[in-house]
Amino acid sequence: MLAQPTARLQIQPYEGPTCPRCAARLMADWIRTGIVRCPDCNGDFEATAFKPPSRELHVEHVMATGPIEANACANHGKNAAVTACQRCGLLICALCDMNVGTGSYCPACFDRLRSENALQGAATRYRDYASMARVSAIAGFLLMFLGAVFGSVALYYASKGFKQLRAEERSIVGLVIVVIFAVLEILGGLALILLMIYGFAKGTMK
Amino acid sequence: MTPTPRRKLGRNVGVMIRELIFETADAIEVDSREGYEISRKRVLFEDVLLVTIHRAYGVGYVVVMLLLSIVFGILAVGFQFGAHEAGAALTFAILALPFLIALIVRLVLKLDFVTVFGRRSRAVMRFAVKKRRAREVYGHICSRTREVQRSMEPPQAAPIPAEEPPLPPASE
Repeated sequence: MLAQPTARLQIQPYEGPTCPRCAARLMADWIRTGIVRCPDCNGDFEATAFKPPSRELHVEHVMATGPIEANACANHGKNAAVTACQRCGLLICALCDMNVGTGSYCPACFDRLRSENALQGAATRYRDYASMARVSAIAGFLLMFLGAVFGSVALYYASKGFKQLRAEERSIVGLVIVVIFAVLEILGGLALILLMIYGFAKGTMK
Repeated sequence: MTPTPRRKLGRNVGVMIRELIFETADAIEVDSREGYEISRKRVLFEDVLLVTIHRAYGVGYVVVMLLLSIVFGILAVGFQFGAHEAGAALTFAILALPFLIALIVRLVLKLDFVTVFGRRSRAVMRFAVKKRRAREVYGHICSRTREVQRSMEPPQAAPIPAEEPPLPPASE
């Protein structure tokens, strides 16, 4: 008898609109504007449906272009090249043109640059410096004798967080409070250390 | 990270999920927090298929609040009438109170969900108190989507003007 495969964490792919209450897949008939009653859970929800226009990509064939300007794509021999990759210089067609607002790249170079996190527009993961600054400030508050260290770290992350928040035009009020706390922690931590040194020196003097 | 100006629309905070939802010029951005890292996905306005709004209790939250209220409530009652410890009973009653209040607030106000389904991804927002805001966000997303998708439609061909009928020959 074959052994049963062990249960694995399954990531459910997104398959389109579902009932917002029970997550049952909505068939095309149920995607409509108005009050919709889910056939599975019988729950009501208000919906507005859209019919987004399909995207059309015009790919020019080499045969269709003139003899002078016709350069074949490096990946698709039948397609006419529309541009050259900014990294490797290969001629690429409209299908291969990976442009996310930072210039045209061929798929291979795009993958390489994306894995190196060198494409600003294609990055989907980044560090949350504001949150890191907040946690550092809280740690410094709890461990007051290390306040100077944690406060400095909080200030460092806050400086990066300010840039991040400004770029996104988000409120910086929370981060300003963190900076105030961090400065107080540094001062408090330094005062505590000085007090300890003073106490130690006074103790040895006797 | 894309340094594009964006406006916060709402949040989706649950037991296992912590997301912030923003609006940019061409999409709804969903920032999912995983520790100190944020992963971002977008629901492009040009891809939106369905926008929904509904009101629900949030069963998990209600059950947890109810259980905590009952546990601390039973302890308070037990200390009061079983052990005759008024101090301990009061402490547990005070502990039970916030959970009870949270439960009542949720049962009265419920939770508003705004969900945006795109072709390849979706965004969910929860509004616990601001009901008007939920309605505003729903309307705003619908109007922005309509605007973007309308601008993508191919322009209608201009009607060909009808030829003028030939004039009758000039009589001499």
